[in-house]
Amino acid sequence: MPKVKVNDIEIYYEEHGKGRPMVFLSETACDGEVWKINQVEEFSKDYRVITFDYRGTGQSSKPSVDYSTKMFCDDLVGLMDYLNAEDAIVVGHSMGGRVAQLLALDHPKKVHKLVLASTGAHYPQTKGLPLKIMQEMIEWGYEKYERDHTILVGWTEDYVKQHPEKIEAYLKVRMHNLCPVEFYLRHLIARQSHDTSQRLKDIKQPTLILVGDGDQNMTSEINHRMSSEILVKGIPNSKLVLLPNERHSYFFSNPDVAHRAIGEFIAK
Amino acid sequence: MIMPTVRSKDAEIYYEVHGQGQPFLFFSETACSGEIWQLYQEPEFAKDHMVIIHDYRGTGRSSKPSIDYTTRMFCDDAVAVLDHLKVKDAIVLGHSMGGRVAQLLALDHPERVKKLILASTGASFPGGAGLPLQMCKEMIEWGYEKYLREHTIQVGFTDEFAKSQPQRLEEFFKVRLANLAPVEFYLRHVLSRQGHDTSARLKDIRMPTLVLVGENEGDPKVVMTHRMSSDILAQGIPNAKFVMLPKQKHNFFASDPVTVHKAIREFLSA
Repeated sequence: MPKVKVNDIEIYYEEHGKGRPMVFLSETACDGEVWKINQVEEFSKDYRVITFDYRGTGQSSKPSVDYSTKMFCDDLVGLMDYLNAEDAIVVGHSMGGRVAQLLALDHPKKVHKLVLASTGAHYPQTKGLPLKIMQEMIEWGYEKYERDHTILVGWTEDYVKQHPEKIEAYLKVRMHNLCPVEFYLRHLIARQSHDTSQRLKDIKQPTLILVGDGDQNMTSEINHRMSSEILVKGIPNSKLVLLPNERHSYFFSNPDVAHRAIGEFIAK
Repeated sequence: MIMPTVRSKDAEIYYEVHGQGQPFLFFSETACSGEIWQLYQEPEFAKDHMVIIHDYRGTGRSSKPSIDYTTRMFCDDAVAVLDHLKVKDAIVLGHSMGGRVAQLLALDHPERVKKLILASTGASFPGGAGLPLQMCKEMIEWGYEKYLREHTIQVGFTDEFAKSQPQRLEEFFKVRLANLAPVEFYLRHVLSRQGHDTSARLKDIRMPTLVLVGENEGDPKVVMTHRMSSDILAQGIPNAKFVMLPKQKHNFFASDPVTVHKAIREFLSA
């Protein structure tokens, strides 16, 4: 099992394929396994795809300390240094997109092009654990929350009805090896505290912003549609691609349109 | 039965009055209705006081608007109750979060507070704004009711009491767990508590103040124990008297009412 010691913890990672490095960053409290559903196969044809488990998730260490997106970014920098991976295409989904912004800002040599998928620069008001999420997790229990919430924000009602098998296939991966509650909460706090909203103009790399046109669930004061608009206005060399009839989790069920957009963006 | 309520801005606040004499207003702990005082304190102090209990917004029989709560809002609700009852001034007792609300009442409406009793409380949670991780983790893993029960036993009662007085413990929980505030409002109360800060204003609390704390309220798991925060209160409030209750934890109003009542009566008659 490939693990590397960085910042006093062990980070689990995988590499598939050869070529320019292409790094994938998962959503909140999600390990790197989800990328093996579709993206690893697709992009390892032409690229050296790197996936990894954030601290607190999967097979990486789970220290009981406060987490931050900067810490996740530092872990990734340690991993990329170890792998001699520079000038990579960096794809960040949701919270992973926040970590990817920090990598582009603080370690620009590591980022050739940036893909910010269903993400944002900040949560303007809600720092700390959001009340609505805590209420649902307490009332429903952790696993049911993760499952129901993932479906609600992930796909349109029509898609859920028409492709239950796709959703179950994803949930099988997502729910397997779910991180302990403590680390889910530590990831949430890290996400809510992240703020690159004043620094977007300093992201110099070509940036593709992807968002589902239906990604409008309000967990707190801002949804991914709104936060993607802020990203495209703030990042100088950026382009927004709206994915029709999609919500948050298109990568894992219906990735063709997103893959095509990424392919065209990389080839340019 | 007619429910005695008073309108306070966007909420109906349920209250009860028992006995006659000097008004005596009670504030409960986080997300706890006023009913808890009917176990021991209302029977004792209604003998010679006008005991006023009420349900915070979000708890018991008061309304539960889904908005952000603050200790300031709870204070305003209590002022509405006092106004409605035409109470000029009262002895004010606050337990835990209730002690934070009582401090605001003493600071912003000093003419309404004759004497102040701050029981197992504090002025702030340093670095503690927002929902605490450990609490949320336990609530998610254990479920709400089990959390409240387990947590209350852990911080509220000594092992000795829990073992030797199980029936008293069950009497307490029968009231505490009945009509439990919905999770949303428990969390709104916790947020208001964590956001409270009167630490820079303690010197302006001018009335005679009794600071009560259990000797065993020093759970080292938390950043600031009630022992520590009570020391800060006793040192910061000019006219404060400090009484430590031997072998007690957070819920001494239920576990040792005799000793607590004696301390309160001594303070009131001084």
